[in-house]
Amino acid sequence: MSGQTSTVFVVDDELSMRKATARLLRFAGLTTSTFASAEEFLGAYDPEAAGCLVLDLSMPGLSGLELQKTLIARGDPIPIIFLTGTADVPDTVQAMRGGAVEFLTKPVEDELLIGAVRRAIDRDAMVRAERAELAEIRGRLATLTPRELQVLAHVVAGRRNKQTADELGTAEKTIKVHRARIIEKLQVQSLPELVLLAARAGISPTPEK
Amino acid sequence: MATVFGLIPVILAVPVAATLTLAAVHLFVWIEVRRASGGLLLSFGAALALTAMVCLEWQMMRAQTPGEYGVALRWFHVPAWLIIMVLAGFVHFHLKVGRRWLLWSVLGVRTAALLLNFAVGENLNYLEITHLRQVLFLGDVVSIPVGTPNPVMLVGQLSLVLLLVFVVDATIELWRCGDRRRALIFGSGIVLFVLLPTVFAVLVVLEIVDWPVMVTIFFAPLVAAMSYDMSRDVVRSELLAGELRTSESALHRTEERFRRVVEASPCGMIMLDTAGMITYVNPRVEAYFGYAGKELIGRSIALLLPEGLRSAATPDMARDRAKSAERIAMEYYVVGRRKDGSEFPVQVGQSLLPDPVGTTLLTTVIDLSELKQREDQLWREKAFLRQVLDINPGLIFVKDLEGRFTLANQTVADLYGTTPRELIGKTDADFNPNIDEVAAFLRTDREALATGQEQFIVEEKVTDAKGVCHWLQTIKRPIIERDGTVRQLLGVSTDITERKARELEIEMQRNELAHLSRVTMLSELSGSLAHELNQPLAAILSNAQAALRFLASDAPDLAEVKAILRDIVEDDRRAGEVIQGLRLLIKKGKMRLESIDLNEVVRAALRLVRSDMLNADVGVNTVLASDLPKVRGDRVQLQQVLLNLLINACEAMSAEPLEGRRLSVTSAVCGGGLVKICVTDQGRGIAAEDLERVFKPFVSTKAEGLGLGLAVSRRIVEAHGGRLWAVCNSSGGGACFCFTMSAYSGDST
Repeated sequence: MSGQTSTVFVVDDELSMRKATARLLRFAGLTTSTFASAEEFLGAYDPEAAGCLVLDLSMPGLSGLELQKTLIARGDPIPIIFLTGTADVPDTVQAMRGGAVEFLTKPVEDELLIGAVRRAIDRDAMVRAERAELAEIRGRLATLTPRELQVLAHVVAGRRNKQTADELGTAEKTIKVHRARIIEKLQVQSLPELVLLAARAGISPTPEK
Repeated sequence: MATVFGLIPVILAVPVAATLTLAAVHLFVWIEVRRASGGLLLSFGAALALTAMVCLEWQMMRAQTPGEYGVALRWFHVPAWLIIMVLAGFVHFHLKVGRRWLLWSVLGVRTAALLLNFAVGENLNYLEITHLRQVLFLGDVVSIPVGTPNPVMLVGQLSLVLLLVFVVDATIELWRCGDRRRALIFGSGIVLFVLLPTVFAVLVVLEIVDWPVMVTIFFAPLVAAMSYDMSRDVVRSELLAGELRTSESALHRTEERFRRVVEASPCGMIMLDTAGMITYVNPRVEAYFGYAGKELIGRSIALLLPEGLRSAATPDMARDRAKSAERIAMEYYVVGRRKDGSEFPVQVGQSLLPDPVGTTLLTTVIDLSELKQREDQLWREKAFLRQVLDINPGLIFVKDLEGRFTLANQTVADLYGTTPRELIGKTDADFNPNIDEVAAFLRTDREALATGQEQFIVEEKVTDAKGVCHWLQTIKRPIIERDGTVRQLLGVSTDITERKARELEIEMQRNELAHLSRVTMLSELSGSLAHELNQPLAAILSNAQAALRFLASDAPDLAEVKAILRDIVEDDRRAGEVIQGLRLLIKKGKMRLESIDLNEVVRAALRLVRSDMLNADVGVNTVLASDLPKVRGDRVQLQQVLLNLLINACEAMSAEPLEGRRLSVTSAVCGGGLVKICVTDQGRGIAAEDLERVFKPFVSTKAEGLGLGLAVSRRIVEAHGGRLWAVCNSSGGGACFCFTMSAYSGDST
């Protein structure tokens, strides 16, 4: 987990519901921020802020599902907990497909809501951590030359240096040098570690000819 | 002696002629009248006496010897006696005055004088006439006696004095009786006649004047008086005759007039004698019975009567009847018989005419055929009207000022379990034991009578004799008499019991339908309603749980708890309102009219459909008039109408792009005391030809609707006396539904 405090964003057009929800979460030790509409939320939302979204499904203007769509489109991975008065199957399916954490029906038990919120925050934290690691790996990969990336792909595919040299039309000795440079640049200790990193970075092994 | 005649014979002839004329007149009068025999006797006596006297006087004047003269004078006293008798008789028998004993004294003494005339001396005047003197008198030589006066002449003088006394006494009596003219004429005439010749005779005898004895000349004034009196009688009789003629012609005219009246009389007149025979008929009778007048005269009245009635019409009976009525005209109705045998109704009047000759029975006859026909016609019309009245299923009645029936038809009688005849003179209270009903009738009766205005009673209750309740719709109209007063009231009631039952049934059906439609609508609204209810419930739960958590902490902030509880209360109230609205919609019942602010109804309806609107992404514009008058209606049903319109509007726009989904609700005051509510959408609208069709039942564009919503809504609005219609929304292309209702100014409860 990062040291950043997570915020629960409550978006509901009804004041009483908004107040009650926020109040409940606050007493559970969570930080809350309330918005009366989806538009208001979008205007104020900082994607860097950690936390989760407690969203009313039906609202005037932009509805809950529309807001979810918008966020996905923007690549903001904030986990969403939907609250709705009417548990509508198509709505639920669409929400879950959009990656909703939870689809809760009002009135909602406090434990259920708080649990969902916590899970969402954890997930958010996890996602954020993973994303940070990946960014770091990508940063390391970015230091490789194109030739080194070519070589890496062959290494990940499990080819011997000679085989790689033959395919790339160079000397085995040269390939060895590249491999050493790659290990150094990517700060890995062993070949399996290198393969794992490459896999996480999404580098696919070059298929055999 | 000279044979030339002087004036003397002429002078002497005048009274003679006068008296003779008088006598002749009397004779003619007597011949004509045969009653004035007294006058005749007197005038004849006078004429005879005077003629004799004149002759003897003439003889005396012409006497050549004293002997001749003496004889003439002696005989002269005979007519003189007669003339005195005549004068006394005239006074006593003609003028009818004078004392009888004086009369007899005069007659007695004069008769004695006459006797002495023949007994003593040469005549009454002279014992002896010695010789005659010849003197010229009025152109004639006349003899005047000279001799020794006879002392018994005094008896003659006494008789004359007695005559004077008698005449004066009679004259005074006559004067007193008032016949002054005659008293004056005859009194003075006789006195002059008696005095002057007496004085003259004495003067001649005593030889103081050289005139012959001419007593008769002095009779002239008397003759004049008598002839005057006679002429008076003649004049009077002439006048009387004139009057008689005048009155005769007047009588004739009157008779003619009456004859014309009788002939022109519109009623027939028949005169009957005591035997019942017709003596006269007027032309009307001829026209009535078809007989000529002469065919009837002398025939029995029975001719004019049908066989069966003839015996009843004997003249005796008619006379008895007339008598018993003491000559007051009697009238009775019989049947007349015409010449051709046909019969006809007549009114007969009979009266006895007082007639000096014989009793006449006057019978007046009036042909009643036409009257009878009119009467029959009237009767038929009356009977027809009665039937019209009785056949009428409505109640028709007439009441007087005291509420008593003066007319009532069979329907009224049936209602009260009696007959129309029995109702007359009775009041409602006599038949209807329900005091309240009777009081209500009386109140409206009085109102109509007092104001003179027709009263329309939309509905009133009456309980019939069997105890069944009827509803009546009644018009009460005062009957205005010829003199402008109102003394009666005409009432016409229609029994609307069945209609009312039908109306009630229809209303129940309408309420049923409205309820059904509401329930249907409720299912459409259920999502929205559930949300509306769920929302506050969810808030309450969260708040409550938050509070519990809060209280479980070490140092709970009570102010926060208070805020939470306040929110809970608020949400609970909201939930309650939703439930209330729901209950109203589900509620089944009769229309309940109350004073309603349509703006409130609009707001309440909007609250119920809010979440549907959200789901359908419909924006609502609300423009409500701030000064909207209240209306009278059923809150639930009006809300139902609005909900229906709002739901329809939402659904009409579900296919429209999001930005086009706008709905507007307006309330406004429009002219004529109407309140108008419009719900306008911007959906695809309604084709002009479908603007009316949409209100027909089971016309629906929705998959799940019954198609009753608008039909029911229209019936609800119309049951409220309003109007609901659709128009094309000119600006936005959608539809606009409007309804109007009358503003209600009653109490604001």
